[in-house]
Amino acid sequence: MSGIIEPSGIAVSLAEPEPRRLRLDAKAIAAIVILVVFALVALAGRFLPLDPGAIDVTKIFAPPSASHWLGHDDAGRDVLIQLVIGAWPSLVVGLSAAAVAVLIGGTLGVLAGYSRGWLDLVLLRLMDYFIVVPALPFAMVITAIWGPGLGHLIIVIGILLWSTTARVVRAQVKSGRERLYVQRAQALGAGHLHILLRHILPQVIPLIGTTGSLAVALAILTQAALEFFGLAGTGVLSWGTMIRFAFQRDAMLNDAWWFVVPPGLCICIVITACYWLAQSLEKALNPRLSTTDLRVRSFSLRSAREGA
Amino acid sequence: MMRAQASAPPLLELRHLRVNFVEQSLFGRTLNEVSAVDDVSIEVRQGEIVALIGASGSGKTTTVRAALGLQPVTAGEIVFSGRPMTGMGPREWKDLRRRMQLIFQDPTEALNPRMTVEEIVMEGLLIHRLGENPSRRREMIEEALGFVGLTPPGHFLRRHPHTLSGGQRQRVAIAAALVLSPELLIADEPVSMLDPSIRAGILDLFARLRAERGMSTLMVTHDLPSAYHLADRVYVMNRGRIVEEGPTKQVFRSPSHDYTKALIRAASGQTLADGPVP
Repeated sequence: MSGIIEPSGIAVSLAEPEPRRLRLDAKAIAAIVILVVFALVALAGRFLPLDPGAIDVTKIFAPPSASHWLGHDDAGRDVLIQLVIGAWPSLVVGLSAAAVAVLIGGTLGVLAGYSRGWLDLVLLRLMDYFIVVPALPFAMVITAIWGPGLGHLIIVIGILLWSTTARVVRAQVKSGRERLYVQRAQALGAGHLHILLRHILPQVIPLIGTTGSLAVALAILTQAALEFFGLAGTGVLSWGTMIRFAFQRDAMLNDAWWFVVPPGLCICIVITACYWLAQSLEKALNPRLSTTDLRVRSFSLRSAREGA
Repeated sequence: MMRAQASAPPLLELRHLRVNFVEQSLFGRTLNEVSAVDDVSIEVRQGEIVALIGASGSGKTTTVRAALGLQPVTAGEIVFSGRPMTGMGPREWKDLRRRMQLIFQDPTEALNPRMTVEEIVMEGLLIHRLGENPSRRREMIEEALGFVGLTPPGHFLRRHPHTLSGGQRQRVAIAAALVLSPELLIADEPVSMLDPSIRAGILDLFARLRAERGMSTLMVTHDLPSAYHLADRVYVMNRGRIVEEGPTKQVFRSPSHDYTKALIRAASGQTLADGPVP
């Protein structure tokens, strides 16, 4: 077995983690529960005939009450119902933009990592370029050219986010293709497609789960920011546009916190859940992260003495 | 035992092989050139076990990698079964990589930890589309595992490499080579990563393969005792060149080159059994 001996006398295995069943911790389960609840809410908002009510001047910024839990907005419409309706576009745009990012990033990352030489170099420079593109100005320019709209928003966010995934995937593929079992497959007569499908992709796919959930979080956040600046187009009710309306109509000056806080809080909770999921996925897929430092720190003295 | 005849036709011939490692700038300008293999000619005849010995860094592994087309060749020719591989397309190289199987030094690294023993042995069958149906393939896999001593085969099929011992892993690698019915095995230091107590078992496999199937083997090694016991002929390699070649006993008893003498002197601490070595 390949391994190194730590100064404490503990052998730390550098070998690839053994294949094991995915075991999720409490954080991951909490994250999944949160995301499932939000998904159900979004589905309800999409398919149930919910109506925030007509404009009602008697209820402008009316505070929360028993029949309207989150009060009313500047036009006297129910905020809670708007929040439920707004969940669908928020989550759909977040998920699809992340999917676009992971698809572009994964493909180009595998391509760059697997090909040596000029193609890798060109793709790497492209990734560098997209990492330094400032997100908001870029999105504004693109929506100014293409016009606003949810589809455009998805593509813009996807373009903004793909390079991170691409870099991570490229690094993994690059180290993966140098492995001896890849050479062995070559010596067996395997073609590039076989090597990619059988030996490289299984190493990359767990990584896509991790970067994918991070991408969802970032996509939702970017989307809210873009919508706040009015780049999502009109007629779409989402959490980002709710915050925008609240800002434009001076909700805070009227002490109507119930118009600002709930959509912001929803964005925060969903993003946090995505981060948790990414963290525990990474921990579950890369046992080295937790086990090595635990062993060396807490058991080093005793084990070293026993070993001596 | 079926001994190779000096008159048997050569199976693999490397003719004046030269491999240079070239460091190039982005625009293809040569920055640095290192010669790894320099005018190496090696011949392996049908049913023969040939050892290629030499110290680390002498170019042995580069030579065998070049023989399989895994390493671009600067000059020289690779001839398999009388057929020069120079200028051959991907299909011919793929066919060559079925008839000539490489066994790696480190079985732990050479087997994909995510695959089961069955998948590992089956991989070559799928690449070369051998075995008409799943049950025939299963038969071939079990036969190969049985031959290398992993019995009963059913006990090993579903296991992952990390649950096997080092010797068992190397046996899996050898089974994965045998299942393709190759004509030549190239074993790159097949036992150097293994515990001395299990080396004999693996080396014995190569002897049995030759005795029972007339298999030719090119064994790369820096372990002189195993070369002495197993090989009909040896090539001694130093700094990318073949410095001495000949029948094993003759080379070991009366080495002519200084480097060979030094190697044998260095190894005389180990036992070169059956017969004293000067």
